[in-house]
Amino acid sequence: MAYGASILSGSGFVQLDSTTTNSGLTVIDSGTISSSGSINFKKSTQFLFCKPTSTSTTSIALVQTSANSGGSEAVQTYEIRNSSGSRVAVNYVLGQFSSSLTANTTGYGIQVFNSDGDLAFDSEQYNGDGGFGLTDFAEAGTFAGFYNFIDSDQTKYTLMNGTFGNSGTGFNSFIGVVYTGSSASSLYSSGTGIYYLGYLTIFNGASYFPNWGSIFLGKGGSV
Amino acid sequence: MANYNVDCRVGLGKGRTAVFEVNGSATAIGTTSSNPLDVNSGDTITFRRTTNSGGDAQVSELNNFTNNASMVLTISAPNVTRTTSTAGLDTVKLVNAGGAGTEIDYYYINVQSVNSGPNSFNIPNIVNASLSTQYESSSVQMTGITGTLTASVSGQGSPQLEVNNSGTWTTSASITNNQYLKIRLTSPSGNSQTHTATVTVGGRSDTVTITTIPTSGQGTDTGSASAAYGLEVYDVNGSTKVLSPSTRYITLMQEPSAVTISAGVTTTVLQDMTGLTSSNSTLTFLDWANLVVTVSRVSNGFQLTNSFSSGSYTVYPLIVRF
Repeated sequence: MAYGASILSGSGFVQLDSTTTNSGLTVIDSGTISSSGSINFKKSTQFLFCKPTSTSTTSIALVQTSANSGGSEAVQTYEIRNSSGSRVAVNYVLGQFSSSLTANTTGYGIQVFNSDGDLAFDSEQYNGDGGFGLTDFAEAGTFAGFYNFIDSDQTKYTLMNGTFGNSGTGFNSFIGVVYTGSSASSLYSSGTGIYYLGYLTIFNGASYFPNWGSIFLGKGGSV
Repeated sequence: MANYNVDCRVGLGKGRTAVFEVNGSATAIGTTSSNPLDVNSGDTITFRRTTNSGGDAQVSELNNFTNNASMVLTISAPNVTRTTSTAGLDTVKLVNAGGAGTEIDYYYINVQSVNSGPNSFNIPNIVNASLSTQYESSSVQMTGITGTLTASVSGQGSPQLEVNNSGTWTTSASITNNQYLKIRLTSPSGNSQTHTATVTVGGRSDTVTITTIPTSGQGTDTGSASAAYGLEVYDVNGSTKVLSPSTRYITLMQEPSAVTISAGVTTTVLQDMTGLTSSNSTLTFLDWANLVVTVSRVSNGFQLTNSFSSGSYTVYPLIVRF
């Protein structure tokens, strides 16, 4: 590079490169969604990562509970539910790319701008919600749908944007993940961990279904 | 380079002798084709008219010399030195310049190719390499080579070499003057580690190293136990790292914008793919567009195909790097 900032991770992956149009994922919120709670966010541009608060075997998927105009391009209200249709308490991390954030001007920290002049990184956007580091990635369509093992570390968060569940009772379609408890049943061939589960009920017949969104796992907090 | 003397004796007048001699003998090395004078390319040979000659000696057919012109050795200019060049058996002809042209002798010189060189060379080392990744060095031109030499590489990281961008990677290959050489090898699996390969061309060698990027805290800063390499950014509590050399950071390469694709149509979202691979980047959707749209990676971006048979579909693709 001839100018600007280029920052690599210890494994050599590009974190920031101001000579490109890249923009880093900034954690703008984190916390807990209770088993009676919900969260508002814009699914098209914000990343919602979740993991169950419970250590028991728990499946989770995103369920939209509001229908504001604009679809996924607008802020909607979502709940996290299991494959039985019950709401699940989760820890969450909400991320948004810096380019859609406004640079702070308090005069301290570090700001990196990309080649478009958009904000690539701004340390002042972090206000106590910690960071987020990717650990696992799988393209859309990687998994067939029947309890496919992703990772053994149940402390990791899973991107929820591409998951799906019915919002009503008689929950019979599910595209999500399962966090196993301390002892995994025979369904979980690789032991405890995080598994992909997807099935759709069409004409009263259930079919296992591949992940239709990319799967991202990662860790929050200090990264 | 060595020098050899070849004596030429000719008689005076027609029908007189014309004999190549070595130390006064016509049966020594070089006077028969089965026993040529062996020299190396670049050696010099001085043709000398003997003092007991009676006429002028014409020497010709100097085919394996840098100067192929025939020459006449006279009493006033009895010695001429020529330099051998191309490899091969040269049958040098001696004629009594004052004779009828029938007084002829031949001298046999076997010029042997000498492989030498190259000049010293240096293949640049590779630093800050990613872990367990194969890297290619830059190409280096080999100069000062005479003949054909063998280039070889050995060492850590399964090194291989390629000559003149041939596309063939191997551990040993022939190389000639002015050809280019580069190597490839795989970096170590741990941080701040080095693999070393030795490249040998003829009688010269060069050591090439590839060193992986350090991890946080492995720098040379002795004033603190904190990171001396990379960037660490802390949250407002002063202890939670929101970015560090350990972070696999997700970045957006392009702003999401609407792309409407008709049924069965393929469109390309342009993206500079330099450095982007299937293991560090993707085009993704944050909704369920993958139900309708298939994504494939191409050299100038990502192709999106509406797999439905009718209607059009609007998607908001994100190209992310991580």
